[in-house]
Order: sequence, then C-alpha cells, then structure tokens
Amino acid sequence: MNALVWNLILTSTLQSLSMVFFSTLFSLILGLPVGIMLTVTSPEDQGGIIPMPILNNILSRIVNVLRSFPFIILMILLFPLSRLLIGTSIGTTAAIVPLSIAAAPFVARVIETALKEVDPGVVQAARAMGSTNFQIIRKVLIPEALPSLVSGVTLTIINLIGYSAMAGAIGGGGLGDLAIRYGYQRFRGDIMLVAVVIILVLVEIIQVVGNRISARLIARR
Amino acid sequence: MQIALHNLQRTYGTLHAVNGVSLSIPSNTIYGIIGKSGAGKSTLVRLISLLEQPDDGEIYFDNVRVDGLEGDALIQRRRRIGMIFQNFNLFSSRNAEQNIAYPLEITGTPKGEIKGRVDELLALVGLEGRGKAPISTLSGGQKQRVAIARALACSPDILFCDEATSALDPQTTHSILSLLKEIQQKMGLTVVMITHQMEVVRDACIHVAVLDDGTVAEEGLVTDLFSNPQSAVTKDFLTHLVGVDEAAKGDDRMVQWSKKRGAYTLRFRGDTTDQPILSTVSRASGVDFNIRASGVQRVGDVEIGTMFVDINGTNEQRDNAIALLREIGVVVEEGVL
Repeated sequence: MNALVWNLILTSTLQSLSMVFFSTLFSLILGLPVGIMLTVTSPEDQGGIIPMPILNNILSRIVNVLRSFPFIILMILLFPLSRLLIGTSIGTTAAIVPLSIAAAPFVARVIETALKEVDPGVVQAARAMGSTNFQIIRKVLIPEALPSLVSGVTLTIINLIGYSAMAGAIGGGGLGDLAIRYGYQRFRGDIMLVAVVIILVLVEIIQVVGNRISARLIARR
Repeated sequence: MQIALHNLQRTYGTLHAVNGVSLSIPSNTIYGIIGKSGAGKSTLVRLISLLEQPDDGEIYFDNVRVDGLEGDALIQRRRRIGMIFQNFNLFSSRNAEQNIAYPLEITGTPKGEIKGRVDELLALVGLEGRGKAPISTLSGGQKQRVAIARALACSPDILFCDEATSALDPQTTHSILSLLKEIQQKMGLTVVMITHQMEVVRDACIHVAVLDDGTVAEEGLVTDLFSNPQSAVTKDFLTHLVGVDEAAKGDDRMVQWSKKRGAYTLRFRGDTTDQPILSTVSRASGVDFNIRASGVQRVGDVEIGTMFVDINGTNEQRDNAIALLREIGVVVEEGVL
C-alpha cells in the first residue's frame, strides 16, 4: 500500500469521524427533547410529572415507526430532504441528515429509559419542595440520570459508527464507502481490512471512554 | 400554622383511600397521624402536602383554603411546606450541602446567601463539616438529618414527616425524634408525623389521630389516648406496643407472669401508677387479682400503666371491685385485645 492509499484511508477516517460527530450532535438535539417529552408525559406511576396520555402515545408510535425503519431505505427516502438542506444528496455532509434522523428516535428511547430510572421518590420530594416542571427536568431528572445518559450517548455514537459505514454504500463517503468501493469492488482485501480495523478501534475507544466517564460520575456519588 | 381538614375524600378506582377525614391540627405542635398500612395515611399526606387534589372536601392552612390551588400559587404554597420521607429521597447527584441548597436555588436565593444559610442548617441538624460528603457515604440517621435540613431551608411553617423514622434503628429513631422536637420548639413549626409506629407517637407527639380504613377512628391528646383508648384499632396498637407478644420477647417495659392474657385490661394514669391500688381494692371488695402482665411507660410527661388481670370472686364482689377501680380513676376494659 503506497502513500496514496494511506492518504485515502486518512481522508475516509476523517470523513467518518465528522459524520459521526455531527450526526451524534444533531440526533441529540432532535432526540433529547423527544426523550424528555416521552418521560414527563408518561402516566404518573411511570414517573410522568405532566401526564398526557394522548401525546405520549402519539410520540411513542412515531418513535417506534422511525426506529423500525431499515436504515438504508430511510436514507434513500430522505434524499430529497438532504438535497433541500445541504443542496446535494451525495457525500459526507449530505449523509449527516439521514444519520441524524435515523439515530434521533434511538436517542429519544435511550434518554427516556435513563430518565425513568430516576427514583420517583426523589422527584416527589422535588415536587413537594415547590419545583417547577422545568426545574425538575433540569435540576433533578437530568443530573440524577447523568451516568445512564452518558452510557446512552456512548451507545448512540457506537450505533452511528455502524450506520455511517452503511451510509458509505449509497455515496456517503467515509470508511464504509472505502471498504465497499476499494475493498469489495476492486478486490483490495488489504484496504478492506484496514477500514474494518479502524472502525473496530473507533468503537473500542468510544466504549472505553464512555464507560470511564459513567463510572467516574457514579464513583463521585 | 393551623391546618383544618373538612370531609376529605380520595378514591382510586373502587378503593376509597380517604373517606371523609375531618381533622383540626393546631398550630405550633407535633401532631401524629397513625394507621396501619392501607389505612389511607399515605394518601392523606399527599392530599395535605398538596401533592394531590382531593376528590371532595376542603383543606385550610390558617383559614386560607389551599386545596384546588394551581400553577404559580400552588408552587409558592408548596415552597413553604417542608417534607421528609421514609427513604430520605435525597438527590444522589448532589452532596449534603448541595442537597440542602436545592430549595434555596429553586426559589432564586442569591449564591452568597445560600452558603451562609446551608452552614447554619448543617449546624442545626448536627452535621457541621459534613457538607461536602456524598450522600452514599452517610448513614441512615445522617441522611435523614440532611433531609431535615433541606426541608427547613426555606423556613417552612409546616413540616410533614412521612414515616420519617420507619427505616431507622431504635437509637437513631430516638435521636431523630429528639431533633424534630427541638426544631419544632425552636422554630414554632406545626409538625405532622405520619407513622405506623406507636412508639413514635408516644415519644414525640402531643396530639394524635388514629386512621383506619380511610376514616378517623379516634383523635385527641396522646396521653388521653394511651390512658383511655376508645377504638379497637387504638387498643390494638397499644397492645402491640406493650403487649404480651413483646413481653414474651423479653421487652422490659412489660413484666409478665403468665403466658395467658387476663380477662380484664386496667389502664392507670399519672398518680395512680404510684399507689397500691390493687391491694386496696382487693381488701375492700374481697376479690383476688391475678396479674397476667403489667408495665408502666412514659408518654410525654405522664406515666401510663397497663395491666392485664383476672378478677376472682363472686359476680357482686367483682362488680364492686370494678366500680372501686373506676372511682380511683383506673380505666377498666373487659378482655384484652
């Protein structure tokens, strides 16, 4: 493998990292409010502070439908949206749109699960002290659930690394694209191997760092 | 702050958890609400702490109606109520002093003021220097002290204690009750203690209401309730407190001579516990007393004796003896619960 190939690998890795970084960011921006909504509007016995059964049901259904959508098809369906927002449906930047939307419902569920783990007694205490709903969310639910939230975000990033590799199949760029176009279609097993190893290493690093942060947060309590 | 409840009702499906509770809780006192599990205590406390709305009935704090408050008015009212819980319900993401600071933070107290107030509160509950301690490093008693400090942070006029000592061992329970009594005196609070432990009522409360099946079975001064209980539930609570069951386990408050319970329960109060009443009555009426179990305990400032006896003699002698006992001020009940 010559310098040109290594250069290609470096570019692809950076593309993958930027795809994962921005899609994590946007999926959090989209998913966090939905996750919070899912929690606070749930029935009171499930820790809801503003029970709204109808809204909760609707949100829950939307999240389920989006989550069960095969990613590759979602991506194709979202080509027009990418074109509208980015101006193109091909390339790393364009891939961030479907990646964010695909990961958002996952993020919403992860956040909902984490927030629902918070002891209902603690929420009751906060309510009895005269906290507003916003104060309960910001000063009680989120800080109390922080270790689980960090684990959830770790899981999201790892999922997005996988999704971003798939996005390569339809012109998203990055390591997945490299592995398919060079490794698979041009029979370059060595490039394929390097791409896969880099993905594995990325996943491992994220997992270790995420676990450490979560463990440190718990140890401080 | 005086609390008045008028005919409170709360139903969950077909369960009538609170069924027509009317109570008048005087200001500046410790008021106990005792009941077995399922008697409706938890629901009642959720209603009077304004966490839940009653289906029917009225709640007044100092003659101001507070049930049905909504939005900002409700939040402002809750901020002047302190509450502590069986499981402490402290924020694990905050250390001791951050927990105490929470009510101050949400009411927009300036940072500089918070620090001073938190130190004051830590001293009040006897936790000076432990402010930085993570909650998980504190013992149960220390956690409840932090919870008390947090409940008092905004200088409430009412403090609700929801089974606050139920998760603590007897010594710690004792120290927490002492602390609550001391704080009540110092701050002139109205403290409402919800509990299933008669010991808590005996050691800390002035007034008590006995809750059974969603209604008030009996209500009054703790000393009256101990010396002359009226309802079956109250008698049951007292029997378990000083009963033959406990005596058999070696509880020193109740001395027991026989495994069988007596045919009569005698309750002595105050001075009568110091007098040789049984021998006097025995000589005067000609009956013989057989003491099955007996003991004296302190309720507030008053000593209250309980004795399970058989009375042997003719019907006439027995009636005479009972009349004499009642004349002296002993409460005589047939049978033991």
